[in-house]
Amino acid sequence: MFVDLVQNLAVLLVMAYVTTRVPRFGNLLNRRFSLKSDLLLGLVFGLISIFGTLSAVKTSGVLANFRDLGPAIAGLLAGPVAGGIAGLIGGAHRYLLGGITGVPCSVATVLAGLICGGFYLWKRGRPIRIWEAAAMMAGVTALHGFVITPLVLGLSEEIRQILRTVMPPMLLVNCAGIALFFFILHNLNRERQNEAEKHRIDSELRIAREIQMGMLPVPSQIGDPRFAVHAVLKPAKEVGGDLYHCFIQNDAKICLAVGDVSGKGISASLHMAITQKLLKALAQSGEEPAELLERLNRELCDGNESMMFVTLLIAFIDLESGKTVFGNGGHNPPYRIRQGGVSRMVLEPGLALGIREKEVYTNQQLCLEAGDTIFLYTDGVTEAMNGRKELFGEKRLKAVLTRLQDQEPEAICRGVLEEIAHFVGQSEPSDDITMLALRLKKAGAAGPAEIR
Amino acid sequence: MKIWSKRQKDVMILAVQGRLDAATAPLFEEQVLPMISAGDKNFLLDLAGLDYISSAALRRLLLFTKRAEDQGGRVVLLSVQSHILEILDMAGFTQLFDIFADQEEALRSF
Repeated sequence: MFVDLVQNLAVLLVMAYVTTRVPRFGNLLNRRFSLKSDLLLGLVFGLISIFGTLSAVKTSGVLANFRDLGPAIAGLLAGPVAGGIAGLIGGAHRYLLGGITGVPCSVATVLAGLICGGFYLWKRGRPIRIWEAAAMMAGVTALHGFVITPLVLGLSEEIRQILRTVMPPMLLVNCAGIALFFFILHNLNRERQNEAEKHRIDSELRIAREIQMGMLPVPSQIGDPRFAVHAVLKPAKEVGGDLYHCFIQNDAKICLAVGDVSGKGISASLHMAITQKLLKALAQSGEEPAELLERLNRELCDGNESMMFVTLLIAFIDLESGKTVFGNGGHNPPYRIRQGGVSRMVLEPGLALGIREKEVYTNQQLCLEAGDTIFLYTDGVTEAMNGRKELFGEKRLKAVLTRLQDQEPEAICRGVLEEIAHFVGQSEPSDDITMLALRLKKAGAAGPAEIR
Repeated sequence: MKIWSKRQKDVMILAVQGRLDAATAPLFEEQVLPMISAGDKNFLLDLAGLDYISSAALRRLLLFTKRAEDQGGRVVLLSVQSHILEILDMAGFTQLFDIFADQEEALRSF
């Protein structure tokens, strides 16, 4: 008998569960219902109540059933209107079937919906706990068996016999059924909350990303006939710790900077924002790169308990002569792409910024020629990692730069990115990737630039 | 990443093996910072088995060194492989650490 009862209960629970997934019922645990949805819910759980009667299991000539379960659930979910309607439907159906327990059973079913609905009102919108639902179910089932039935029919030996056979399995199965139902509902609810929380964090990160990207200049918009320049910054996560800067000074020099904050993600992005703003503000002074690094370093050392550091390479390029002054705070030296050869420029490393307050940096001078391209990057390029934990490396970078040596800065950046993507394959990006490429145009090639 | 520790007089010798990257750097910090709280301040980091170090891990190495120096101690490096040395050198970190090839010599420096 138990097995049959449990089997039918499983079918009923699936029906109830599917009902609660109907979008118009939304979040059943925390919401108030309109009258219309109350009626609808009452109707559905009334039909479930009828199913509870029809699927009853015959035991020693008596029917063990869970007709009261539907109205009780409706009451607990949406109050006495829904519970009452479900009870009336289930109760009316039972009454029409007749039999000796017809009257008490139909009355008890209506009462189950109303009492559970009353409990819903008493909770004033607080979610119903699993044990509360089980206790309510036990209460209304006991009321049905031990109060209403004896009141209507008296306590003859026949009735006692019926109650003894039917009550234990009904109590057990009803309580287990409603507990299971609410357990599923609570889980569903928690899942939805987690989803909402994740969605909220995602959208905040998206905004943070927009802010961060908005801080970066768009050098390709500069549109100066004396050079072509292009920058790419691709964070490994939504936000990152890489930065670059690019601006023209007194119409004579172009200033390029590429930097990398240790680590990645949110903590690195905060330091990136600070460094980017400081660099932008301090660079207006017109100081040489080394002095700029020293001032920036002092600012970044201030209160840096977590030892976040930034590697930063600054280059001021004279657009007339090609004379280039570098200041290097522990960053990878750039590549120079010249007709017939690609080479890594030799620069003294210098210490990364944010570590020693009184650090002294040196200006290092090199010369670019018309037609040369200078390629600045962060270690996200060379340390891009594939599934076998191999690094992209300087050798591959140099090879792809050599292949693309005649291309414009934009095509070079795009080509390197494609090469990295191909190398990395399906692996997660391991670090932020930044590239800043500038080509000094040959004086003759400037052409129409003279007409300004 | 694995760390083996062994004390020699008042110097804690830590042999770091494997990769120090964004994933393992927090583990490094969790294992070594408590040693300073427990009273150790002189450390010899044996990096012969270190395959890779990322910038996130460099920050934690710096933090560890700073904490040790705050207690009046030192952190020196031993047997740094050439590709790790290249990374340290790039960020200018070789000027922050004494680097030794011989353990006896490194221990004598304390």
